[in-house]
Amino acid sequence: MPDRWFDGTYYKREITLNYFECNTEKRVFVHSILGLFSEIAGDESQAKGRTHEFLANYGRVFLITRMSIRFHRTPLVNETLIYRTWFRKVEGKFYYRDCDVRSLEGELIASISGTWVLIDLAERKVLTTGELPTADVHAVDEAADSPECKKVVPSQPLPVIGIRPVYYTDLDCNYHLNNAAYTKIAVDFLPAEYQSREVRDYVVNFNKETRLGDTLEIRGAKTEGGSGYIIQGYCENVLHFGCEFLFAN
Amino acid sequence: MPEAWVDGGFFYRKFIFRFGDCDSRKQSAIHALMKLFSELAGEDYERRGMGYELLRSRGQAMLISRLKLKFHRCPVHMEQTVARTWERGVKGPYFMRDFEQRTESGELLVSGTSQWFLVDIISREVLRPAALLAENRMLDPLRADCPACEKLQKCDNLPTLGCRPVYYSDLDANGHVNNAVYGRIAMDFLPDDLRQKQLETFSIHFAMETKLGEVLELDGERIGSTFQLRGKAGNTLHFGCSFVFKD
Repeated sequence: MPDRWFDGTYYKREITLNYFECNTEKRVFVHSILGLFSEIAGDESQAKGRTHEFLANYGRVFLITRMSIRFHRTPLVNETLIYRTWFRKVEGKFYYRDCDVRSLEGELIASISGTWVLIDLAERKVLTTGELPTADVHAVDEAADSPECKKVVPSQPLPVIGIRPVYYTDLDCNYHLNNAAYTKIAVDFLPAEYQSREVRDYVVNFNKETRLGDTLEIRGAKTEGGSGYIIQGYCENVLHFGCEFLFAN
Repeated sequence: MPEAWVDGGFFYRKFIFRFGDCDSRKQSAIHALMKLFSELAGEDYERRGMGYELLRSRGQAMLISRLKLKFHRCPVHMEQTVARTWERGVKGPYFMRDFEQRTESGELLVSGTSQWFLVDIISREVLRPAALLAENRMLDPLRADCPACEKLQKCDNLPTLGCRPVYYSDLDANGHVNNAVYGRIAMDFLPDDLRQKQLETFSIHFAMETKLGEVLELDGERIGSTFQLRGKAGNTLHFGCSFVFKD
């Protein structure tokens, strides 16, 4: 059986979590499970002819703007997961894609949502959905049980908790920080007492591209009530990303 | 063709390098190859009943000591490949394991060889290979088309390139910096002009475990057609690697 297939409605992919994708507690890293989601979204586009090269030839590229995930249970190392993803709708300039992640037995493990925009490669300007150089994408009107891809806004300015230079291996083929790298950085700058806690909900906003040579100033604090933690990354006082963790315990 | 299969002592797995596995040139990153080959080694031991959990229950862990890769052609983004690994034999305290990655039509892309050793997870003492109680060893003496792992070249007083703190996400279930992360760090501190060159070989020696809270000092210099890079914490060498580039 192949490890990826399109069943006529949903694109599916089977993945077994390895040690590299899991933390010291053998639980999957948030950045690993989200990174796999964005890769699988890319796989579906590739499989349907909307390859990176095809879009780049038209001077276009899709960039992700927000992602959210709800863990119904945190998967562990060596677990085999089935990702099922579908394009949900277009609203304004945003393309919405959802996903659920299940065990081989069908247990719902995580629900994920993401929003993408089409941009002009040269001007880095967001384009309208009518400027996608392919036929309309088939939408499935089904929402995953994930948190809203909301705008992450702290109730007050956050204190600086560290700095993080951009390293070469943070970059992807778009010459900017890969989306999964932001969440990886956020996890690295969580206080130690939060790093081993299980995440229930997580939302991340990608506000501005970050490039080699940039240094992110990391700001962070507990949310009101203390059940969550917000992290932001600034570069020269410009917000590059923001994210909010809500913990399960 | 299935996704993974076994043929004698060889374990095979199909693999596609995803966006996040590639560098800005859409070529597979060194750390992604290191990750793939380590995963394969782990899966090979799992399928033979010598996986991580079993070894841990015996108070043992298998750690990598050295790895050498030869690049025939660097795999690229979305290329459909087949990787295979096999245990070649035992030499002194080392378990010798080789790797290959080919296109689905058989073109050799990367070949590699590595040395692993068994440790006591409490004392970190290196154990004799006979301490690995395994019935199904399935060794195959075939050598991958790759030069042998070598000792680190002695390089004193290399210029300092920078410092790199250990981050939480660098750690694996063994509680130390994962071996593929050293490849990532090495690439991050390589001079930019060299990152654009095609690699002939890459070899790395893991000298000492690195833990959260430590800061690695990276030293390195171009010596002939190679770039030697060392990572130290305090005055202790933690890893060393050498990049050899094609003309």
